[in-house]
Amino acid sequence: MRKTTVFTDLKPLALAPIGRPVRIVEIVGGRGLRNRLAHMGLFPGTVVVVELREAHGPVVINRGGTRIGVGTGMARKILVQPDETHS
Amino acid sequence: MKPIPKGKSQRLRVLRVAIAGTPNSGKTTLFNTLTGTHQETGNWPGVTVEKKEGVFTVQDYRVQVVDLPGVYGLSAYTTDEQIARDYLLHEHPDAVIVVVDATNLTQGLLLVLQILQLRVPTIVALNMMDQAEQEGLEINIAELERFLGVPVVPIVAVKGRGIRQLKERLLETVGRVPPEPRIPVDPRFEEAQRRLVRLLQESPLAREVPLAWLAQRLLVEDPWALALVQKDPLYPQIRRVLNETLPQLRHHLGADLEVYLVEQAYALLHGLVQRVVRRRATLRKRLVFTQKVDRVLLSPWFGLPLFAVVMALTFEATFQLSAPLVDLIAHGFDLLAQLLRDLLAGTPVPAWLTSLLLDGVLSGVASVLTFVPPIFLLFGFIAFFENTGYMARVAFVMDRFMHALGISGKSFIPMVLGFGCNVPAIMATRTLESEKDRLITILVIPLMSCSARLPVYVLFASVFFPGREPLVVLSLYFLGIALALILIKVLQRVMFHQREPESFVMELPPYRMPYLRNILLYMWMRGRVFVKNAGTIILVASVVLWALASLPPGVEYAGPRSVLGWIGRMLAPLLKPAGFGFAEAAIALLTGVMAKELVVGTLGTLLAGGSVEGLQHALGQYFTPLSAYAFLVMTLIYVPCIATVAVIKQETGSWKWAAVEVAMTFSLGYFLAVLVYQVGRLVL
Repeated sequence: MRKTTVFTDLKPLALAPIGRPVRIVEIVGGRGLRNRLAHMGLFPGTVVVVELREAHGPVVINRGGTRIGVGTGMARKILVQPDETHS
Repeated sequence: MKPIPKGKSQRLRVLRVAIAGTPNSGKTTLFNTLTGTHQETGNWPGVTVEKKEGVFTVQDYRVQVVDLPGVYGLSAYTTDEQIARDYLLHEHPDAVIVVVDATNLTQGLLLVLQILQLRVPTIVALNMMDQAEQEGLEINIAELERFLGVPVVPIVAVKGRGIRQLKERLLETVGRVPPEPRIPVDPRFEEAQRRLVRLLQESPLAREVPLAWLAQRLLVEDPWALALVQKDPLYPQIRRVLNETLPQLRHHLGADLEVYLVEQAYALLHGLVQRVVRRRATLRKRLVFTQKVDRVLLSPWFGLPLFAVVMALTFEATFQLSAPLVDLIAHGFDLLAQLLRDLLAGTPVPAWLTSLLLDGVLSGVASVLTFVPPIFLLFGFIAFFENTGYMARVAFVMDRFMHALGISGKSFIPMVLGFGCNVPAIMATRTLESEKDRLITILVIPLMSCSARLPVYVLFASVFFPGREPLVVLSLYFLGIALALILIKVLQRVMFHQREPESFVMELPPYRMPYLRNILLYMWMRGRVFVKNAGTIILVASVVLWALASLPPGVEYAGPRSVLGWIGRMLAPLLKPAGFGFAEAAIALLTGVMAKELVVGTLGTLLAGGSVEGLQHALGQYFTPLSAYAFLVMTLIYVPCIATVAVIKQETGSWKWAAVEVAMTFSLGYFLAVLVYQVGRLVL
C-alpha cells in the first residue's frame, strides 16, 4: 500500500485550481494512455499549470510554455496535487 | 504526378526519402514546399490513413518522398505510429527527414531519438526558425549536430528558406547510418538489454531489425516486438531472460518501463536544450497572444456560439457560393449536349452511340464536375482553419458534447457538412487524427440528409401532407441525425470493441498566419484527387446506369421495357411490405442511386410523362400518406448516391467499406420503411 497521508490534496486535473502549479501524481489509465501522455511530456512528477478549465469540460494545461488540451474524460484520470516547490 | 521528360530521367538516380515529424511541426508544409504539385494522395494499405507521395529533383537525383503520418513517438499504440514505424523499419528508405518545430525543441527531438534508434540515415530539418527568432530563441545548431551525430538544417518551410541546403545535405546523409543515441538508463536495464542483444545475435532477426532497439522494445513488452520473436527458435531463452529481469526492473524503475524510458529521454533532452538554446529575454508575444485568444475561443460562452457561427458561415459559403458555379457547369453541359445532339443528328453516327456519348459519358462528366466547386471552396476553408490553428480548438470546444458519444469533437464538422452534400463531407474527415473516428464518421455521414434529398421530401410532403410540410421534412432530418448518433455508438462497440469513450490529449499550437500558397495547394490537391479517383468511378457508374436504362436498343429511357425496368419489376414485390411495391417506385429508387434528386425526375417520367401537375395527381393514386412517408424514409436512408459510395472507396482506400456502407444503409432503410408502414397500418 502507498502512504495515503501524502495524497490528502489529491484531485483529478478536471477539478484542479486554475493558474496555480500542480504536480501530476498518478495517471489512472491503461498503458496506451500513460504512454501517450509520456510522449507529450506528462509523467507522474511533472509540474503543470491549469490555464483554462470549465465545469465538466476539457482542460488546457501549460507545461513549460507548451499548451496542451486535455479532454474531459482524460482530465478525470490524471490525479494532481498542489506543487509547493514552484509556488 | 507529372512525368519527368524521358531523355532526362535516364540519367537520374532514384532516392527514396521519408518525411517524419510530430503533428504541428510543419511536416506537411515541408512536403509541399519540396514537391509542389508533383504529389499524389492515397491511403496506406488497408487503413483509412492518408498517404502522400511526391517527387523532387536535386542534382542528379530524382527523390521520391513519402510523408509519414505525424506522430509523437514510435511506440505503435496508434495506427499512425504503426505506419511510421513499419515504413522506417521495413521499407529501408535511403534517408528520413525529421521535421522538428524549433519553438518546441524537446518534443521534436524525442521523436528524433526514437528514429535514430532504428538506425536509418537521418537528417533533422529544424523548422519555424523565424518564429524561434521572434521568440528570442538562439539555437546552437553546431552543438545540436554534435550531440545527435546527424545533420541539422535550419529552415522556414512556408517561406522556402533553407530548402536548398536541406536538399544538399540530404544527399550527404544518404547511406550514412547514424550513431546510436545514448540515452542514460539504469545499469540493470542496460544489462538486461545486453543479455537480450547477445541472445538475438544468433537469430535471423539480427539481419532485419536493429537489435539494441528490439531488445528495448522487448523489455517494455511491446506487443509487436513480442509477436515478432514468438516465431523465433530462440523464443524460450528470450522469454526466460524477460521473466528473470522484468520483475526486478519494474520494482526499481516503476511498473511501466516504457514510460520510464520516455522519461529518461526527456531528462536527457531537457539538459541538451538548456545547453544549446539561449533564451534572450523577450516577451513571448505569440504565446501571450494565443493565450488571450484562447480564453475567448475555448470558453463555452463565446467559443461555442462562435463555432456555431463559423460552422454556419462555412456551410453557407461552401454551398451558396458554389451554387452558381454548379448551375453554370450543369447548364453549360446541357447546352453542349444539345449542340452535339444537333450536330450528330445529321451524321451517320447511330442513335445509340449518340445516346451513350451524351446521356452516359457526357452527363457523367458533368455530374463529376458539379462536385468540384463545393469541394474547392470547402477545402479552402478547412485549410484556413487547419493552418491558423483553429481546427485544433474545435475538438476542444465540442468535446463536452462529443465526449458522451466517444468520438472526437472534430467529427462534428464533417457531419454538419453532410447536410449540404455527403461527398465533400466525407472528404473532410481527413482532418480527424484517429483512424477509428475517421472511419466511423465516414460511415454515418450518409445518414445526414443532403440537399439532393430535399426535392423528394418537398414533392411528397406537398402532395400528402399539405400544410404540414415543414414538420414532415424536419422529422426526416431528425430521423437521420438520431440514426447517425445511434450508429456511432453501435459501430464503436461492434467494430472497435470500445466500451469507454476515448478522450483526447493534444497540443494547442500557437495561432499562426496561414499562407495562401498552402491553402491553394490543398484545394487543388483535394479537387484533383476527387476528379481522378471518385470521378472515374462515378463516370463508369453513370455509363452502366445508362446501359441499364437504355438497353435493349429502342426502349424508352428507364422505361418498363428496359433492363432497369425489368430489375424494377423484380424488386417490386420486395418493397411491398413497405407499402410501395410497384415497379415505378423501384425504378425511381434505382435511378436515385445515381443522384437522389433523380427519384423525382424518374417518377415524373414514369407516372406522368414528365408533367409536374400530372405527377402530383398520379402520386395520389400510387401512394397513401403512410406509404409516401415510408418511401421518404427509404429515400433518406437507402444506399447513398454513387458519388458518395465512390468517395467512401476513395477515402477508406478499399471497396470493403463502400460495400459495408451500401449493405448497411440498404438494410437499415428497408427495415425502417417496413417498420413505419406496418406499425402505421396497425396504429392508424
